[in-house]
Amino acid sequence: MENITHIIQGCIRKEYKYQKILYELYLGFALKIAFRYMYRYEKAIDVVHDGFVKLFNQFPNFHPGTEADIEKMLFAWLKKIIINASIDELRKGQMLPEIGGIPEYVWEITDSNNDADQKLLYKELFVLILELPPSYRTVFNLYTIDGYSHDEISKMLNIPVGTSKSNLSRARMILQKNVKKLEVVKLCRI
Amino acid sequence: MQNIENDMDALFRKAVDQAPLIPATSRWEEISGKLSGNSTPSVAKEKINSFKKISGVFGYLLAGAITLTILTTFIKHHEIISPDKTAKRIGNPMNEKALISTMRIQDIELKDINLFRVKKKTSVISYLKNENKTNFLSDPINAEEGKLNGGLSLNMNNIENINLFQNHKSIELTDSLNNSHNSSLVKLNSFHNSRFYLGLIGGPQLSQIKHQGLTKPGFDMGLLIGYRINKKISVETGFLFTKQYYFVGGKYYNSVTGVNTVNSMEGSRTAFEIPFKLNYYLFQKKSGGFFISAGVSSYVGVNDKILINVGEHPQPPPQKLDYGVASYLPSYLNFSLGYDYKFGKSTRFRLEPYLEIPMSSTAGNTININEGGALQVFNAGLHLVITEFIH
Repeated sequence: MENITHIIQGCIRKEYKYQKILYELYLGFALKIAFRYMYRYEKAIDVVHDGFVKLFNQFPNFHPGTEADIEKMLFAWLKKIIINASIDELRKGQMLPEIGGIPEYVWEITDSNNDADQKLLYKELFVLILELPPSYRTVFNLYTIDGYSHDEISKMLNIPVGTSKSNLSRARMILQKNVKKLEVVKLCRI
Repeated sequence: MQNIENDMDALFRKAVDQAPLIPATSRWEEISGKLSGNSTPSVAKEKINSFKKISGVFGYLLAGAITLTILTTFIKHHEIISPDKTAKRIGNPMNEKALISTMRIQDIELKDINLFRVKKKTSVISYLKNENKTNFLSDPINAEEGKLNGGLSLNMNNIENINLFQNHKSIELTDSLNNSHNSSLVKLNSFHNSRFYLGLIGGPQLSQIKHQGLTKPGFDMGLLIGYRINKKISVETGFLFTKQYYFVGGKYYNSVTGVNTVNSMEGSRTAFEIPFKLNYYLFQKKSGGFFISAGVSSYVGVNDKILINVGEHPQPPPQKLDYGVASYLPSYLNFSLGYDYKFGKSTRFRLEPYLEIPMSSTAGNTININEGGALQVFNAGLHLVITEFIH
């Protein structure tokens, strides 16, 4: 296994080998971010690929800090790129209607033990986020999951701060309502 | 309330973190070709795309070069010749295409005739008699007066066109001032100074996908430029704005989710068409002629809007799908036939039904109804064209 610093240095030099290693290493991480914003799994994959292209093309501008926090910095940078790529994609307004549900094959639930039940619950909660209307989902993700402030969201989405707040509020209301529908037993297991 | 919100936020954060999402299988090849400036071996598909783009550009450059060559040749043949140059050229009569090898104007037996344009609206006729001595119907240097045998006197400065008619072995001279011409000379097989023509083109168009039936007609309209190579053949290109409408059943919607609740899809497309085609005249009469044509068309700036009719949701708002990237590669084979009505000296009106058959799938001839598939669009229509030869 290559050292992350070594991989990053290789990516800065735009070496194919290290770019591929980094891509395969962080693909899952990036996909989990993009899929929170994009209802369609295939579209999330496209966004991730666009994000990686931006990442690798801009890698020479990446200035790693100390070895201790180099991976944290990379994570944060990749996350920002994927979020921006997702927002760009949503902003284009070229999405097909968000219908048909999330395909089961994207989830890894095979066991029948307690852990599997918990995974199932997490999956259902994740799907609840995806089922929010796009504008509510985006604000909810940015504020609650990714930790952006309303000011920052307002600038990122080019919407008033008030709209950001009201979208978050409505997203929470919908989520609360839908969470209640989930089985109470499953909630207690967390 | 704040606590509930905090708890819920924490719950969703944990769910997002722990959700058992399967990492997508690596598709490194798809992005490696898009990376700039590295030593990544480009993927074959990307190479093909690049090749297509480059070859498309070269194709149009080649077409442009051919057009330019024809234009340059045309201009050379019709250049404004200064008196000095005229004198030089007349000493060595050229065999212009407009020449007729043997002509009789009244009693003069002509072996050869040359037609020179000295300056705008001034032409000089020279001819070779049997003894191969160059004679002029007008003075090339001081082309003020031209006198044909028999006393027909003309001010050569006012001559706009000189048409040579092989069948009647006569010359028609058109006076540019009063736009009259010698009516005693019968017009047949007129020769035009210009082979280039410009036109306006437009008409209704129908589009069809997978034999799914037709919806309301679209249209196209634009400009046309053509070059008459000879009496039988002409080449044309142009730039047309196109609006198309189509319809396709829901079964062609390949939902990535595996759940297909789509009943049907209706779409519209705006694009710009660049045709390039060859016309062949099967026969021509005095009033016009029948022709057939074949060629290719590129569609650029393609912009699709698709309305998806879903069972559960009666009609979601129209969803815009934009390819963004224009394809300059030819995407259609064009076939047409038509009748060219001639009216006036150089104006023609054409009725031309046509059929556009998609070639291998490109953004120009397909609609992308979802992430999974692209369907080819067939077009047919009727073009109404009015053209005018450039003088």
